[in-house]
Amino acid sequence: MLQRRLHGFGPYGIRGHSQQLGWTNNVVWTPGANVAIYLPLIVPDTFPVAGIAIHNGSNLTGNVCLGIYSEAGTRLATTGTTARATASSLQFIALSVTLTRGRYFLAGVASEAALGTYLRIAPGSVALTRILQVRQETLGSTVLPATMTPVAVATAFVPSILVSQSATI
Amino acid sequence: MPGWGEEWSQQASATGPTATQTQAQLTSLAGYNVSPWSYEGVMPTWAESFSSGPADATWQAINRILLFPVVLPSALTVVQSYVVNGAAVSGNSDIGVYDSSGTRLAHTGSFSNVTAGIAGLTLTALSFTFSANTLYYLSIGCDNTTQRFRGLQPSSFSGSLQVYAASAGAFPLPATVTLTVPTVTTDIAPEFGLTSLAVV
Repeated sequence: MLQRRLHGFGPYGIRGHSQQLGWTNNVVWTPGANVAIYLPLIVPDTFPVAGIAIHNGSNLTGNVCLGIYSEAGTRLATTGTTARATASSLQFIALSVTLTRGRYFLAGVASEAALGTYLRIAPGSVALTRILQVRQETLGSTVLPATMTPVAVATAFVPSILVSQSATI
Repeated sequence: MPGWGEEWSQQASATGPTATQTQAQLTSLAGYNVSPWSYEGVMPTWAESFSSGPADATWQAINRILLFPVVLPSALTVVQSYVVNGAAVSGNSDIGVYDSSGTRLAHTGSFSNVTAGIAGLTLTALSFTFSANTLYYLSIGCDNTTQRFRGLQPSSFSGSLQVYAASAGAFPLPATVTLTVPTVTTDIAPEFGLTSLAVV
């Protein structure tokens, strides 16, 4: 059954692969400024994406760039660098792409890592985060690359990112 | 847990998926990982009623092997095994896949338990392709009782989870195992599994 949203925390994201994952709000972008995080996502059937969202904390300092990659690491769609907005809630950004049944990565990168805060899950360890196929990549800017070249995550930091069939909710 | 009911996480049986698994669930897609803890396995359902989080514990018997049922909703080719260690590593382990008759289909062979420390990770190459909607057993064995793994340790496994154990003499994973009555055990259920993308 299709859902209106497919969430990186949800049953088609990392939550399908682990237990005991609590979330915490108001955490800085722990991996570091301009370090992208890639979250695995399963799309069970054709899913028309109209928007992508990230859950912000109370401090909106900086910019983000969100996007979607294929299982092979090719960027399929991106928001481009976007000013953060909507404190302590989901910030939706329009993004149009149709995903067919398959495996993908949701992606997000933040421009600064000292003040701006986010809602995130912290799996029990960095090792467990790696098992969940969460990956990271240090970028030179807040722009997601055309092809991701991820490496092992160095922190147990999983931001709340989702795609929706709506651009606003 | 939001959305959890939509996952394919019900118990498997010796004859395949149970009636509680809806067609929608069966036509979903296998994830990047398959393990007793992924939605293809039985542990998520069981862990819902477990009051405390994962911890680490010693392997409970020399040469013990455990087998956990999994059924994937779509075919999946895996390339690597993983297991999460506890506070101490020692000796060797073996991770593999059995069919529903107890015939070993693939395994890593004996490998050294490395990466000491809580939640250290041991990665070992293992290539295998799972067919869709087919009952398999993921298996792990260890040759000593000093080794510690991260996982959950219940007071007893429920036989209804179809988790099997075999004891001394079984390590490394034998070519065949006898699956008769699910074994009630207090062994730790380690966090281990197989991945379609090598863990980086």
